[in-house]
Amino acid sequence: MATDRSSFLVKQDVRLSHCSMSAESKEAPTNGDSNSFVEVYSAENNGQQFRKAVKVNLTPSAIPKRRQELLKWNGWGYEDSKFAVRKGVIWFTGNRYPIGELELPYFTQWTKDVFNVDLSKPITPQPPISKFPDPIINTDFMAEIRKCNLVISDDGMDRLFRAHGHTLHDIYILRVGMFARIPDLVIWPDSHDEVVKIVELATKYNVVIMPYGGGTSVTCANSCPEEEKRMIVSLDMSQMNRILWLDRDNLVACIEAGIIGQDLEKELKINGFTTGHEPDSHEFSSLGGWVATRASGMKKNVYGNIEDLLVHVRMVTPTGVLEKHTQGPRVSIGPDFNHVVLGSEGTLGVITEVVLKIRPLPACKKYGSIIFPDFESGVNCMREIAKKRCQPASIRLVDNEQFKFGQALKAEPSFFGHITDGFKRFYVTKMKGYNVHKMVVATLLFEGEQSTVENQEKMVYEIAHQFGGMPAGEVNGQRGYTLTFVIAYIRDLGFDFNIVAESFETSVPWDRTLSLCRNVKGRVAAECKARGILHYLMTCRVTQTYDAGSVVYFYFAFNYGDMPDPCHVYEEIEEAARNEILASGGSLSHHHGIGKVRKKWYRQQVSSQGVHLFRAIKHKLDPTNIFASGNLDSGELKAKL
Amino acid sequence: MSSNGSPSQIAEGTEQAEDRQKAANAAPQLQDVLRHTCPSPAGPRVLSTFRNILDRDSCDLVWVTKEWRPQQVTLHARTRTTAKIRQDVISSPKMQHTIEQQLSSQNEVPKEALWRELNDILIEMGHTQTMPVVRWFGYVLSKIMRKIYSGVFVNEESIARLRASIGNNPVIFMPSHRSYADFLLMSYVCFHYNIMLPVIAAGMDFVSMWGVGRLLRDSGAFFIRRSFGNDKLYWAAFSEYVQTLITAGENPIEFFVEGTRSRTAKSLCPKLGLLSVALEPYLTGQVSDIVVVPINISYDRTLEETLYSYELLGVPKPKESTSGLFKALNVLDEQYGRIHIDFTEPISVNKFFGDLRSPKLMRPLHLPHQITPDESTRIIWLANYVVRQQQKNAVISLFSLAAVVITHHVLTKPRNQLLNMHQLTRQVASLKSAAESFGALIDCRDNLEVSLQNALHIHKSLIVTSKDGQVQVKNVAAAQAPIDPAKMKGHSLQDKTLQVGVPMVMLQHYVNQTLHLFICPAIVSLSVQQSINQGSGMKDDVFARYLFLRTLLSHEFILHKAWETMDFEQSIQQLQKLGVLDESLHDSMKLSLGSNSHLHQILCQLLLPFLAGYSSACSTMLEVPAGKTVSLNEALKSTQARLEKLLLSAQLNHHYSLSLDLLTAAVNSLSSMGAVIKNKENGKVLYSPNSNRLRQVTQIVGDFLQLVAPICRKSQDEQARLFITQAKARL
Ligand SMILES: Cc1cc2nc3c(=O)[nH]c(=O)nc-3n(C[C@H](O)[C@H](O)[C@H](O)COP(=O)(O)OP(=O)(O)OC[C@H]3O[C@@H](n4cnc5c(N)ncnc54)[C@H](O)[C@@H]3O)c2cc1C
Repeated sequence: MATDRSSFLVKQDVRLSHCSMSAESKEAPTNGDSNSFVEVYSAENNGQQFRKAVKVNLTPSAIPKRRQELLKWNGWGYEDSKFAVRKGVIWFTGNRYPIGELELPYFTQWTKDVFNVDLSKPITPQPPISKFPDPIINTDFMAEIRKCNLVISDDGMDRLFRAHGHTLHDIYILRVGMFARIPDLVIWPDSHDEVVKIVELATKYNVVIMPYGGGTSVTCANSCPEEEKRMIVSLDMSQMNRILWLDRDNLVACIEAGIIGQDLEKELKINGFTTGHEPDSHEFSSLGGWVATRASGMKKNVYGNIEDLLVHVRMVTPTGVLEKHTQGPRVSIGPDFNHVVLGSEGTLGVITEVVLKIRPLPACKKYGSIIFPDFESGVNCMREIAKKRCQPASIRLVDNEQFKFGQALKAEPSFFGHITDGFKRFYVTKMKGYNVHKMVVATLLFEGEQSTVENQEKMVYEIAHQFGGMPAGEVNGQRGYTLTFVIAYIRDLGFDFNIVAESFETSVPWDRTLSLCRNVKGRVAAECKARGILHYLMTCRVTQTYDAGSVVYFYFAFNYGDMPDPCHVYEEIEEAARNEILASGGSLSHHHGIGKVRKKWYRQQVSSQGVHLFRAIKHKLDPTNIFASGNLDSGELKAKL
Repeated sequence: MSSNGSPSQIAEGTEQAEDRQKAANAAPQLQDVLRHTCPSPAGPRVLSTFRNILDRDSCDLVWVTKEWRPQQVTLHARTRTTAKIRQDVISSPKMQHTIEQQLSSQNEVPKEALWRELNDILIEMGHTQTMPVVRWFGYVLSKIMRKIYSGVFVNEESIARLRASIGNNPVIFMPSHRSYADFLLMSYVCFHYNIMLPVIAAGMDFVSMWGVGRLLRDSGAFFIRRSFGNDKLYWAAFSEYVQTLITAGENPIEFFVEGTRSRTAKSLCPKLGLLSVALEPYLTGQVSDIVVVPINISYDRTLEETLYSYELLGVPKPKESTSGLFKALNVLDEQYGRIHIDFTEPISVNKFFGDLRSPKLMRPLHLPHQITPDESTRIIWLANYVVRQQQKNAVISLFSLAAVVITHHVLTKPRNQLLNMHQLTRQVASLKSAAESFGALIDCRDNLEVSLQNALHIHKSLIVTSKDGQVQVKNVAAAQAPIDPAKMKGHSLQDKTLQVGVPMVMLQHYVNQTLHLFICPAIVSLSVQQSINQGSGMKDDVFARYLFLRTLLSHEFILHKAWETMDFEQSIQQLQKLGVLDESLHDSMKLSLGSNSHLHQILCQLLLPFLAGYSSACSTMLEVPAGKTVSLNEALKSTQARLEKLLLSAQLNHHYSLSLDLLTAAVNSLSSMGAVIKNKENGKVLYSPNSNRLRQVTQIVGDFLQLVAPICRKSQDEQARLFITQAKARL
């Protein structure tokens, strides 16, 4: 297959020797037309003929190889975008996002009210690091790798950048210290075949490989196990970002696993398609990462989660390539091994190519919002909407704390912004009986044919009415969604003012949704009280609906005052919260995954037999534990086998 | 001592031994949990933190009409009307399932009938708390309490602690239960301190009293039938009702873990039914925690003292009726001293249980929760812990100590040797310091003499001090209207037995108030003595004897298995400090008696009525011919008859052995020790002896009894002469 296709591909990378990259060295299109598809016929699968559209070229990735040149080395997102304080008022820098260059007076006040912060006394993080742990070098392996004409780097900053994801712990360490272990070498493979080669060599010389996609993991999945004495290679997948072919008839596309969300959507859009997969991290996270973590996108109601979108996948393991030799839309050929790849979190092999379902771009896209008198009626309404199966592409219900927070993020007073005064406040809070300190809002995103959207809107608003909900306009809905990408930047601001913050999520049956939210908030309140934490924010939202339950997403942040190890305190509290979630009928994770932070509960969730099964798979695919990231369960694996 | 194996082996069937092992295994872990959750209060308890809430600035009228802004139990609580609560129960998944899926198909009863029945059940059950009634009632109560009590003292430190621990989770109040007054007092105190008024689980007996049922309902009581055995609909309705109260978290819910009023003033062994139901929302993950607050209510003098005395002896209790209540109003002419209320350290169930909810497969909420063995172990533990906390936080009146001294005197001294005030004061003083070293808080505000005199004055209907300082017991039972023998619950006791029995049982009521302090040391003391008499004195030999007694008395006192070693070690330490056991020991494995033989004697003597009663129960059961069975009532009757004979022939002199409560506990205890076999035949419980084991137990109990048997024997007639007769009997 690979050879078939590669004959149509023009590789245009400027091969870089190690440590000599710059932003300019980004591959540029060489054949002028970056979006030309060539109609081809390829003989595959027992000679059957498929009509394919094969993409021969692609715009360069939005993310350079030297990520630190565009992205923060010790925080979230683009270097030029962040919350900052100017003359005592918070504003957002840069113009990549809708609130860029705007002053945020309400938000400024909010941070004082909720967290009691003193904006005049920021804490400065450590300057960019220049001293890194000495690399462990497997010289035989290095010798062979050098022969392979690969893009590699042992630059300290390159290595450090791939030693972490965006878990609180990761970023906290970057601001105050150093990881005990970071990758010893970074390699940027360019194709499936190169990956096969690298994995072969690593297996031969007993070198550890850790696949690295977008680095947005929030489970410490990218952390190097401290006790690992072998050389660790970080396999940065970012250069494998081509759409290999696109099949308009069957509505599928074969895509290299390193592509990040925004590039994928940009490319597909040019051709009139979308995957519809939109995790909140989609600016930076990669296709391989989604598959490896069983990611979930905001619009899954229309398009499905990653496991629904995935038709075919190739994974390179130390003992060979795992893939299905069929592309039937659904098959009954024993247990589905796609599901061994999905959620494998880099422990079994490298995902190199994925065939995904694609959809024509929607004709109509419309936002909406509904306010409810309280969280309970909001949840009941969502349950009803799910029962009737008329969910729009996305429906999210935020609790009162987040509702207020959302209001605070406005630059100018508007519909809700005025909520503290004026006519609209009167209307919403007095006439309709809404209490500003109880009311909540649901935001909606409709996508599809005009008529479908209209029907859906009608049904949704009717149901909402039964539960005391009142439509609150498109603008508010849209704001909710556009702010999504900005919210991830807030944590870095918090760090500057003694605040640590993190989110965690779960999925839960409908009848336990409310009690779970209540219990977890109660538990966190109790844990804070026990530790003398006075200023904190504990808020939740219901972000997804399923037939059988919902997804709840929590944000927790607190002012840690002069605690010596706030990160550890946070982890203790999150652990208590997770125990509460499990005891309240929630799952260990809906989409973030296990990584290292949730390993201790893995067995409880999947049973001992489940763990045995996983270990058996691991043992067969990766007998010498080349993929030694230690995610999921593998920590205990060595000892047990 | 017979050579029939070690007492501890005999004490337990294998099953019990296993249970004990299990409990012991769980013990260290839980002990650990407890240490973290329930740190003992900073310093020793003191009387100065108790404040008399009747003694307030505002007059009663202003007080009852104050603005009502109580501290909320949980932030998420919404106030629901009675109708809404009923509606919530009816529409709950559990009720829907029970009626639609289970009952209607099983019993072929039409659904509509079941729904109607459910509605009726809920109306019968439901509380209707209304503030105007509460206020009005509060006003009347204030007036009554001012008249009969010299103060209602509440530990304000404990109130502050309570306040700090509510706000997040559902709260359960679990007061001790000695009197009907408990119901009213709790709400009264909450009203005073602006704490959300509790919703109270009450027995159905009140409902039939005209007006009273309504009044209690309006003050927040809901009513549960005393027995509803297999009535699935009732069970489901009741548990859903309790659980909706828990999950909604609007009011604290209040119930008595002892199940009923203790007539004996000793704590009753906790009942687990309601507690398990109330904990279910926690066990099934619907709430993240439940805060359990054990509460002690200590009365100087119990309103129902005489009534209880008769009841324990088997004289029929008048049915609760409103006219009875008004008759009881002549209590208003009497003085009942002080009441002390202490809200003990709130218990986080989650911490207590070590979060054993942790991930298990969640069943849908409409299916009844099946309590796991692990959960059940902890629930039993929690229940026992609650009762112990109640006991530990009692305020002991000096009269209780006096009762111990007087009883001891009556039983052991020749009749011409009357107790005088001087001796009494001296002995109370030494008993007081002993009690304090066992952790008691004694209500002694002035110097001991004055306080004691005040305490005796409250009880002047039972104890009188003559001008020359002689202390005597009054015969409160004189001139009893003839009792219809058919109505006697037990054996038809002779009038002369009642003459001495009623006051002695009444006196024992107050002795009993102290027994939680003395029981373990008493058992240890007696075991040491017996062991030494048998030529051993080795610690493990003592422990074996201690275990036997402890097991024997485990239906009588709160002696949870898991605490047996802890209690043993603690008692030894305390006894050594007090000189009851010799402290200057060279061999730490060997125990011997110390110089304080007087206290030793008092302690051992405390066990007398129990050992005598149990011993007679054994004899009664031994006489049941092989293959025959007796009902509990038959067993009680013949044991009482046997005991009366002993009393009349001066082979026994403590009338408390006649107590039906005591004898019932004896039978239950023999049954759980495997000495009698409990059989259920067509719904009737019948007992038959397990001869070999019963003989062994009888022997051992007899041996212990020998040691405490009357040091100075007096016939009942002689004893009666110690009493001053009193004209009017009160009932
Ligand atoms: C602000 C923010 C918002 C987020 N929102 C969402 C959301 O809405 N929905 C959601 O599902 N998640 C979300 N996440 C979590 C995260 O983005 C997802 O887990 C994502 O799938 C990770 O992709 P990545 O490419 O960044 O993977 P990385 O962080 O690079 O890696 C994650 C794990 O996957 C493995 N891996 C990566 N690529 C491959 C490959 N090609 N082959 C084998 N293993 C590989 C890595 O070894 C690692 O174990 C969010 C995270 C952040 C920080």
